[in-house]
Amino acid sequence: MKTKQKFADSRNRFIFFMLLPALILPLIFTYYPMIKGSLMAFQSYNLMNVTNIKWIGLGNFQKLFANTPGNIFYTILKNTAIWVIVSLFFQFTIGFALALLLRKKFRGSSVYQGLIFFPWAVSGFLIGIMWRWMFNGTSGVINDILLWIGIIHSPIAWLASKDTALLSVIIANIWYGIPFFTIMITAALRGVPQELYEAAEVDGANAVGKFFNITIPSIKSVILLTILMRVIWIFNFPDLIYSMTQGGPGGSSHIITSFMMQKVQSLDYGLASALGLLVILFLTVFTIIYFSVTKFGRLEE
Amino acid sequence: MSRKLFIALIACILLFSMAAVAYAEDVTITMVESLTSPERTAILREIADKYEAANPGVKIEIISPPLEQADAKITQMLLNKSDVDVVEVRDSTLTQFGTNGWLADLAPYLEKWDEKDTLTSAATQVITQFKHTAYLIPYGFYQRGLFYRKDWFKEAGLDVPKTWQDIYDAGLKLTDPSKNRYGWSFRGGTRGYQYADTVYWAYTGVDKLADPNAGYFLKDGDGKTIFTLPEVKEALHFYKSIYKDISPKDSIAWGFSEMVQGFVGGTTAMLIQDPEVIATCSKDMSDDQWDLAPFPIGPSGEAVFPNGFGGWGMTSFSKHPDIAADFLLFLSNSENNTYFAKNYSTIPIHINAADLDPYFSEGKFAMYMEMAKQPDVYRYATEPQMYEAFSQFNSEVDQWYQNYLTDQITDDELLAYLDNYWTEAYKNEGKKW
Repeated sequence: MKTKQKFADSRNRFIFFMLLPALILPLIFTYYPMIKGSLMAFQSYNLMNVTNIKWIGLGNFQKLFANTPGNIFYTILKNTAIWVIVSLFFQFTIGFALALLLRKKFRGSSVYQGLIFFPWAVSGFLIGIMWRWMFNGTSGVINDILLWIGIIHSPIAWLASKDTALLSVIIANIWYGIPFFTIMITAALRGVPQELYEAAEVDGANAVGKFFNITIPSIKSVILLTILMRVIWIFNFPDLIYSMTQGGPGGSSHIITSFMMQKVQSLDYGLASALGLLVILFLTVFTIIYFSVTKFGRLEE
Repeated sequence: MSRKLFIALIACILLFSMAAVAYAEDVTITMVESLTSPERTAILREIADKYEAANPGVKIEIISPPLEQADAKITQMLLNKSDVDVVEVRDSTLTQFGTNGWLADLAPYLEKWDEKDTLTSAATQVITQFKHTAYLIPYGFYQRGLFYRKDWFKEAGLDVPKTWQDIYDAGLKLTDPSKNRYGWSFRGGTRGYQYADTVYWAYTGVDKLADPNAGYFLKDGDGKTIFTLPEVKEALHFYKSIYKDISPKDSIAWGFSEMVQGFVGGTTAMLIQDPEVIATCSKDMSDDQWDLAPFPIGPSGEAVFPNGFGGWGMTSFSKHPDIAADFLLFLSNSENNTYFAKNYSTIPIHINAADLDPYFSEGKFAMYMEMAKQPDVYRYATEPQMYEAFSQFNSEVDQWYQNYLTDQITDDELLAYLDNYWTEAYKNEGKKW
């Protein structure tokens, strides 16, 4: 009896020591910086003067939500919602459509597939710089093409006008995000058993019926998961905005994360950290709601 | 496969540690640069190699972070007191580095320096600019000039603009949106506000300012700002008319590269920029297409612009301060500085530069020497960068100007914001010039 106890003890100790590195490393490299960074949100932490760091409670949050005339934070919240919803909608529908087209093999389909996936392999900043020149109002190619076709009669200052700046960055973002959905959905479609379609055909189902009754239900879990991932990624994707408009003109194309980058650049780490916490809060709440609305857990069964 | 990789890794580590032991007796001086470019790093390396050859046992290591993140990287390195001995200090980072106590006072080394007497007055002024302490030795200045399309001006029978009004008048004649031609390369994007500031100062003149380095405050004003002056309001209206009447609409989003591209690519007729654009123009345009003229004069009879600078400082926590300082002075001596300035297109810090190299007395650069001969017309002023409030201002003020230029807010609203911001900064931080 006693030896058995001893054996269990040493075994537990062994397991504990084996797990220790796996516990300590994330603690040091993930959780410690995360907590330290989060604490900055409640400090006046400006790198302009690190000798003068003090606790200010919710001061940074008050500054963000303050109702002063120059405060663009409410515009930024609205922009973030538009940026996520519009980008996601078009990325998903176009990506899905392309995946359906790619399901049937045709001559050169693998080359075509490669071309579609290309944008996904390029860095966001690079894509931003590319689109910034394309949208340039005086020498950009987009104006050239539109003028040539005759849709517009004088060049449009895409990135320079409050009405079109956000639209322009969203277009670039849609272009960038389509391949992700195409890749994921193409892969999921491969797993749908062909017999289901054959059976449906025997029953006399048309293409629309097959799409809604077989295709969608079969890949539902992939769709739900990719949408959730994309919401989080698009939310956290300031690269394009930063290299295309830097949030301008007048903050009209800022989203929360690009605004946060601007605050980091102005060395106000306290305010930037407060923004970071808000982002975490938004995304956590969203994920919880998303899971409960889509009953995601039960899908696995 | 992975085992081979592992062995290779171990071998590498051993090799490196052996190399480290072999060099253990050497002193390594680490230098971090901020405005990095492959060409510039090569020039610095050349000078460092010369120093190493003359001082056996000393190694110079140059760290060159990518340009966009360089200042953030440097801040992190200094914050953690990493092994950095010499650091690039810019007009925009001097306050931050100085306030945080990261820079050493170079005065004791400067006193013994045999080349201190040939420094230009601009250089001497910059050395002790922050808190009257010698925190850096500049490597050069970026003075702005007016680049213009010689061929277009000739074609239209126009004279070279001397004043801001001339620029507007000539610009109006050259602007023809149907041909995609505009008078002015406007900058409404990042740091475009600095152009508005030069127009304000051209209207007020430098003598009304509290200090050339605190260009938003009025002399004897106890923190009163220039933004309440009627002539600044007038200047602001003028600035807006430049955008509305002679610049591409798109230019409200333009930064450095767009404005230069606009000029070089044949969209705009005039551009105010740093000397580094000379190289771009020489490369992409023929000599009869462009020329360089002095900075435009305003109603005050003065042409006022920031004397932008960059320089080298020594960290306060350097382990080999004497050697680091020696290298810093070597880098700044007239021979090396002139060489650096010529290849990097900055204005050198020693008065004998033109004797050492005819490059500075002939060609396009001669214009700057002409400007230097009329110090009461061509004057320097700059934003109050010594204030901690400046970094936030620097990142958010462009949005206010963009709102004003696109008629979202009125002139009074913009000026009220500027006035409040700096009155507040003065109240919080006091007089810092």
